[in-house]
Amino acid sequence: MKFDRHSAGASALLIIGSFLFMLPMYLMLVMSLKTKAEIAVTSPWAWPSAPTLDNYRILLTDTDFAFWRKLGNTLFLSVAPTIGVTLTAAMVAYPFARLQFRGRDRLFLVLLSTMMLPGVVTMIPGYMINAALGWIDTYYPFVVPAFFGGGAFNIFLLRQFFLSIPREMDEAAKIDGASLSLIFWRMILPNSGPVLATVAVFTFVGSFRDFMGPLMILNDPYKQTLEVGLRGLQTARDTEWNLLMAGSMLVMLPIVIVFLSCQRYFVQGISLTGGK
Amino acid sequence: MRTMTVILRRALVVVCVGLLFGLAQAAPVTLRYAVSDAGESLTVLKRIVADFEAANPDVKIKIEPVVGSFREKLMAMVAARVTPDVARMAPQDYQPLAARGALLPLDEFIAKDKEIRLDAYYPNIVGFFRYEGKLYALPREVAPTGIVYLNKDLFRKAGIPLPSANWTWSYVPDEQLRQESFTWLARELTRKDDRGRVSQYGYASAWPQLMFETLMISRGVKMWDQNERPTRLNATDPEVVRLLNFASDFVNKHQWAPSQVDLAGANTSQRDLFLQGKLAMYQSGPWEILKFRKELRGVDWDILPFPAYTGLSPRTKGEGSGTSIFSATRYPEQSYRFVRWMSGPQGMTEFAKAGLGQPAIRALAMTPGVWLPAKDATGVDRLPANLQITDLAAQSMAMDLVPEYFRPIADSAQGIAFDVLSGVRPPVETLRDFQARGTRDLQNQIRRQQTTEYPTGIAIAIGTVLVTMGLLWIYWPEFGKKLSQAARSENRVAYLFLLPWIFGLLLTFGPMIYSFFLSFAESDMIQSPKWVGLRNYQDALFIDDSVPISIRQTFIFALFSIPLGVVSALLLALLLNTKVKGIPLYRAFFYLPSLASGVAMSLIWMRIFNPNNGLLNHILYHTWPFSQLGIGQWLSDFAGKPGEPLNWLANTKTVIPAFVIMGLWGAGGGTIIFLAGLQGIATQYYEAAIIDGASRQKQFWRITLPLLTPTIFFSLVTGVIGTLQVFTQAVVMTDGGPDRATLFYMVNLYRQAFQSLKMGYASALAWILFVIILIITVIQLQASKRWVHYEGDLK
Repeated sequence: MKFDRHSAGASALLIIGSFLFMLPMYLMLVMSLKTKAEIAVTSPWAWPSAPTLDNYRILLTDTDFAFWRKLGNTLFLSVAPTIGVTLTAAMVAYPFARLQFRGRDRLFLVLLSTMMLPGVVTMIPGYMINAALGWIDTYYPFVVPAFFGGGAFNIFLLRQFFLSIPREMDEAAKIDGASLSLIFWRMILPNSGPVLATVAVFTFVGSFRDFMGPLMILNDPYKQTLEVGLRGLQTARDTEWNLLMAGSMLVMLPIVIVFLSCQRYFVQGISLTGGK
Repeated sequence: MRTMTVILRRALVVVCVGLLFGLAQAAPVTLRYAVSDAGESLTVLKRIVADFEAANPDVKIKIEPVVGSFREKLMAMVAARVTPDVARMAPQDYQPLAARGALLPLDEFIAKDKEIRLDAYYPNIVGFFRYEGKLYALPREVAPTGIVYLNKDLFRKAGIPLPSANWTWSYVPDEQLRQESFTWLARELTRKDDRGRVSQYGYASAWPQLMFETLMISRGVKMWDQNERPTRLNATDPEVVRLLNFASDFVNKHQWAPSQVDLAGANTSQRDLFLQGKLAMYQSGPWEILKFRKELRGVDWDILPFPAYTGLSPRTKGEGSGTSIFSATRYPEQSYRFVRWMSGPQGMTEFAKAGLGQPAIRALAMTPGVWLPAKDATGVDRLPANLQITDLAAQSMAMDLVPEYFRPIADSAQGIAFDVLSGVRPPVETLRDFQARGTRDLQNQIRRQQTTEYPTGIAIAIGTVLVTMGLLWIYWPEFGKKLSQAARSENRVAYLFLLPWIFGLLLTFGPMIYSFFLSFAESDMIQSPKWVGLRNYQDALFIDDSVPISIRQTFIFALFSIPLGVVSALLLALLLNTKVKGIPLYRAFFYLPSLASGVAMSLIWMRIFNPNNGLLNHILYHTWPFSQLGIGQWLSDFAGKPGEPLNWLANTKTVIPAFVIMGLWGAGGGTIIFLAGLQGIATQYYEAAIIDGASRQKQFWRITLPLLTPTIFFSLVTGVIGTLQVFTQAVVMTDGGPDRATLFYMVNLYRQAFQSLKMGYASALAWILFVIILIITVIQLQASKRWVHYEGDLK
């Protein structure tokens, strides 16, 4: 490969940037490899004198923490909403981006407005609705609403991208006699790989990391998620730093795997002639 | 014949009763038991519950551990009427529940109970759980915070004999009393190195205000007139001023105790000093004992009760916990049986044996082999030698239990003590300021007590009108417009696609409308709301000075954070869009910090911003080229104290920049969005530009940037919405401080909602924020027509 000044510069920036961005991760890793006693007396930056995987072992085998059970719960509570949100948010974004209908622009403002009221004041009324539906201590509150449009953030994001797809494509399809819903399924969706992957990853990460939701809704510790379990390591009077950091690393791992395996979709670009 | 029927009937009754009895025997009652325990404490708790179930086969216990936000969850459960049967209760949490009748008074049960005698419990912890003459929790443990841990090795090294339990404190070191004078000891045991830096502290309390509050209680002064129904503030009382000056000098001038500024981070660091042998006296509660037994190997240590003020009897702070029954329970008898197990000798003994809680029954606390070491205990299990003084500490416990309307003012009293002891604010002016501000708040709170019933009927009518008006606003402009055949079918298809959202909107709007109506009420979510008209809005906009401050700080933060966030995300995306080897991995690297849990990251960042050994200051003060340029010194002169490393999170000038810097590490999320946006640009445009011979710069300005405008617009709109609701870091890292510099809008709102239980006021605050964000968003939407370019927009 011939030497390219541009990509050499980019590589240098990438390496420096990665280094900076990984610094907090380094601290997390180092603390997860130390014993509790070592964390108390050594500098947080120092590499452990005798790195130990004990913290990981404790978390993975402790029957009270029940890592594998919680991982299973968390995966279910992340995958199901991801499917619902990605699918229905795309459906709702489609008319906002590409169709004419009565009240469109004002309904769009209504859509945005649902993001503007702080969740603190709707938390308890929302809890009361869930209680009235008999949904407390079940997974319904996490899965069912995900199929109702998937939230304003995602709809707005998808709308922006659908608006960027050139019109020529659906004009051509219309002339070929394609219906509006066919255009959505065959033209818009296939051309939106990267943004759909983005919405999916965001939703997955958000559900995986959700703390308040599971904490409030779920009572049974066996239904609980990893993030809530993780917080149990940080009690009011004594934080188990070593376990907390090892736990954070363990919780991050599945997300990183999902992210890396989604990469393929991120780079799938748009093509003016494609989509058929 | 008649006798036959009678016999048959009787037989039937007998069979039925028998069946019922059998069923009751076969299916034990299940009680839900909510606890805030975690870790080892939860393990022991499970063991005790198993013992209870073995002894009571007709009752099963379902443990529901709640980690963090225990109070919020209990409130939501009470509001939705899905409370557990039994819960662990702290003295500072039960009052609002008891006041609303959510808890069952235990007095009748105890009166009938032959074994549980209240006079066997420490009277002060029983008092903590008494509300209007009734007992709402049976105490399980006492946690007196007037215990002073001594590092005897450091005493020996200084040649100072150990003080006795009769030691006292006064404002000046008493040279005559020597080791019996606390202030003298604190001075003598503080060591400085030859550069004048403290290498060993005489004294520290587990959290900074604890020492000040204990001094106040032991001196017998308060910042308000009385606890039952405070009506007046005494913050400028000469004794209060003298005391805060003393505490402030103790920390900031003499450096006998470390200030929070010296110790970046959480409460654990004072304890770490003690563990590292750099602290001679450490004030905390009995929960430290277990940890110190395990970790203070080779150190000679012991405990003493907090000294009394000269001439007064000892009085210190304390906490504890108990077990309560919710009044909604269907099984009060079984619940009580469980309460008396957990908070009676059985449960208490198990906890005490594990070293996890000092029993609330005094005799048990004094029995060797329970809380005190067994006669035949060996090694660390015998420590500390003076363990029986925890009894004295428990007897001297006192607590300022104030009514809810006074809670926020009591909280801010704690806050000012924290700020003064951190050296952020001077004592006298701070007290004067608090007296003026607090008095205004207090009068306002007392006025707020007068309320009237909520006019539900009128509210529903107004609600209907509002919803109708909303619908009219959406559809009126296009009403009666004739649509072509094609347009009508398009309209139909569009609404078909919108269907899931419209359905979901009903679920979203319910709680929104509810909170709107609540914003005109006084409500704690437990009792029915009381009508206050526009008063919440008036208070927020014209009286409560924390609102303008929180708005200002939030906007300052947003002003820097949003543009920086968008620009850095865009630049990163461009960088990550280059065709370099290993790009997928780099993308993961940049996204990783956004993936880590918010709390863990906050804790990590606290170590980075640490003034003494944090990475940031290390780079600024000690690393080339910054050290050569004197950047650090210049920053210290400009924003902090000259000659001292900058303490980012404890300095009102630097805490917001610190938050902005931290925000940059979360740019990964925005980068992903921009990356997707870059993929959305058809390659054909670039191919055409290259044929035309356009340079890279030209391609960027003519193609990339214009076609990214929809993404930039999205980032700006959601950035405003997200940033104005910034919350987590400010709670975890700075708790709104220093001096309210990070009292962001949501932090304030959250406190009002869940700490002061003013849900109506919090709702009003929320709707004010809603309107602010709405206005900004509408302006953005209007302006976007000028600069955002949509390839696929309708022409």
